[in-house]
Amino acid sequence: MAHEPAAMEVPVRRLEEAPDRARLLASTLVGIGVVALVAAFLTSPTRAWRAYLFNWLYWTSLAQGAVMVAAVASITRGLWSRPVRRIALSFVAFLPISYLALLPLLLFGGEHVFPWIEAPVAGKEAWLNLPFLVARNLVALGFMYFLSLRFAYWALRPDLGLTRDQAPPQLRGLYQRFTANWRGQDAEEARSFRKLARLAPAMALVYAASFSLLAWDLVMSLEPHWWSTLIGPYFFMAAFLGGLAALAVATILYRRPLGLDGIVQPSTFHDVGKLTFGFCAFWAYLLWSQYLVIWYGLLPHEQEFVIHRLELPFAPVAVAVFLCMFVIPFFGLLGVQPKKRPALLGTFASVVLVGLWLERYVLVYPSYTFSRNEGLPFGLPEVGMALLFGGLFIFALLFFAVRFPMIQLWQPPSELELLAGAAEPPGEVVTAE
Amino acid sequence: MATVLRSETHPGIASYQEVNRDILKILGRPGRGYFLLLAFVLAVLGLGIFAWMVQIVLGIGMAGLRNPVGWGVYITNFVFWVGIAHSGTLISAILYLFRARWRQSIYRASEAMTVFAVMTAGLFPIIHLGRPWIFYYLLPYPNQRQLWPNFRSPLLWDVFAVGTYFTVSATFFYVGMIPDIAAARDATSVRWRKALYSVLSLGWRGTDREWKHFTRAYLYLAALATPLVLSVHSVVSWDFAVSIVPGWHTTIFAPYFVAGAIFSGLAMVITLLVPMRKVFRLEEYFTVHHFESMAKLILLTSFIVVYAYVTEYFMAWYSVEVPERFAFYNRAFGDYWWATWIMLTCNTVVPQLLWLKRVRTSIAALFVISIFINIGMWFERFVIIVTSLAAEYEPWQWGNYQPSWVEMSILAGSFAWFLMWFLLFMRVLPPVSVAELKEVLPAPLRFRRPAGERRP
Repeated sequence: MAHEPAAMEVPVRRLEEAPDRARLLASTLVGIGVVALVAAFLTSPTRAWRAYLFNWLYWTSLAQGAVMVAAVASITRGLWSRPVRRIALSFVAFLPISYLALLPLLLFGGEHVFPWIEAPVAGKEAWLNLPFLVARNLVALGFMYFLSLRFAYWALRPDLGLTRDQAPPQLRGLYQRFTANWRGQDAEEARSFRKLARLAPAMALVYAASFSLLAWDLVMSLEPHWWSTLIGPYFFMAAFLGGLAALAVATILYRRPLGLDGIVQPSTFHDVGKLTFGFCAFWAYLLWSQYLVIWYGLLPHEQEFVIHRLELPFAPVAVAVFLCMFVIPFFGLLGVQPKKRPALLGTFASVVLVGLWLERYVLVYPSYTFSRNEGLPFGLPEVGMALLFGGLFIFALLFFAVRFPMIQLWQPPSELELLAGAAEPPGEVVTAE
Repeated sequence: MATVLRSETHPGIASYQEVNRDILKILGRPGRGYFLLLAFVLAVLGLGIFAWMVQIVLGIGMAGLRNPVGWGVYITNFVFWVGIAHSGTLISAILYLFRARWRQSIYRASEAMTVFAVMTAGLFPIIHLGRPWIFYYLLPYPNQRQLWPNFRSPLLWDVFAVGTYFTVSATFFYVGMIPDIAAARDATSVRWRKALYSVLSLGWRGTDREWKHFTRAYLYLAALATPLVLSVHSVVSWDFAVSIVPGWHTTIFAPYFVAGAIFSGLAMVITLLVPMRKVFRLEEYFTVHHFESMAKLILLTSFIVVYAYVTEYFMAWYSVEVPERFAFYNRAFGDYWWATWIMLTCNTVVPQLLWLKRVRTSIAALFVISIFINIGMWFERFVIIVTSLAAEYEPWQWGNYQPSWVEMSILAGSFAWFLMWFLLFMRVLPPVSVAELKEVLPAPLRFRRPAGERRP
């Protein structure tokens, strides 16, 4: 057998046009969401902003988490990820929406969501003041999104060069712009590979920093006397888990419209399932690491955070979060078959996604004062806002899927080498003298 | 035209026979240099044992431990050695599960290092006791004294965590070695070796059935060992974090300690493998690629450690609590400022050199960096333990700590104890996996085919 790396031949997979059902679904969601949003702001702007905040955190976490899956796959050169890498990357389309959606929250919603504006904490004014908070979050998140979009650009560029000539007329202009200053396919692939190799580690660092900042400012500061050094890692690793689960669900949903059978193999689902399983366990580990230290320390200013979440009215939601993000997926995905079967994997990944949504709710809401008798503050504003963001999320994904190839066509040269080592059984001819 | 088949990962190794020859050669009769080194190591160990005896006879006061610093160099050593024990299981179990293919030639030595490091770490809680002969009070079992340990104490969790870790990693180490011991058994003619290997290889003959069970066992042990990598050092971190001492009581401790442990463990693997590679001419086995991959992991874990340092300082400032703020100010500018700055330099500045590919692929540079990291990680534990205990909440309770010659001798003795086991191991058991290396080599064929020709 010659030294012919077994490169995977991949046909172009792109949605010709957005499926009617998906478009209808997204429009309906956005429609209901807008009505709910208006209703919520008319009845109680404070509650509306809080619902907005936790939903923004959730959908942003999913989008950036999935993009980080693509970046990590690039750092670790995980060959298994090739069929799903682009799907993970496609979540990048939501990031601009997320950035725009953050602006009104910070500019107009601040007084409704940050308790320290009305009651400043002595000694913390230097950090907990609105102008500085707005500036640092916009800068940090802007930089994160800028890197993500650069990453997407360089990952897409060689593919657009490959498909430029067959592209439908309405995409020609776009592809031309993306492939400006073209240097030839081989040179471009090598160049993209170099760019991605630099961008991906930078993204990992900036992700940890910027999402820690989000956790400190948009979660931790809601209980201004509380602090926890682990809240940052807890927040961004949960977002990464959300990205993995979202990738699993998206891949399964794309299977029919994109014709992925034969490209995304059961072994790929197996790998996505293993990672989802592993990061569910890791999420529980981080949760426990934070909880145990606080429980044992018995310090009032630390315990309030936990107590607010484990008492009524929020206790049932907290339990549901633990079930959905750890217990159910852990035991559900323990075996091989559930990881390989799309229906089962999709079910458990969806459970994780619901769990993460409730988790972001539980991170935000109990920080505000609620009395037990009022009942759980959960209803139209919370669900309506989720529908609105969810609809926009689907639109963003469709926006990407109708424009760009959804399976990566080009393959970095170093991957070809690795593949040559991995695909052939050991002991085959590799080099000859 | 003769065609030579080569493996991609180990192009310098031509055949199965060469693996057997090169690896099993290490098990031959050692030369003078080896015995001299062993004698030196034993002498240092003797010094450590002597110091311990002095402490037992004359009392724990021979150590520099005084109120308020009750945990000094001994617990620093304990945490340091438990940390060193981490990379072995990471390399052998986690990288196995992640299908990282670069582990196969280095995992045996790092597993051995893990087992010996746990054996070293386990000594220190006992050395630390005023009456070490009643250390078994820690073990929970039904007894006539009607004594039960305090199950709420993290020190007892340590007993379980470290005990479990030792059991599983020793089993994993041994099970993975069985086929290689059998190879050594078949190759040796020395009588005591033949007898030893015959017993240890459990009658391995390499049948299909045996391999089938072996691979299953290996996979399950790997899956079992993986959560242990996280749990052991998390529990060790809770020895500190669950108390309310400023500088200790912080939620990030568990993942931060785990990352630090992997960081220091990988550095120790490099420290040990570089001389071993040189002395036994294993350049074809421990390739530059292996070292580069380890360097990348070191860079990653170094960033997790940096993240934890930064977050701790930020939160101390953000908390507006006087004791919190003071604890971290005191670390950087108090009496132990030098220890803190050694730690910060070695753990945050020096590893940044690994961004450069030239450094990552230079064995000499990696060796030097790994020693810096070993020093930095020892000081990290020293800083955490000593600076926090020396200046807790009440200023009238403050007091500094000075390690005595007894503690320093025992520290030196612990390195000797660890190296003694490693030296013995290298000459008695195959220090590189023979069987797994063969998995990536070209299979022996009756006819060598020229490249490009199909198999008949």
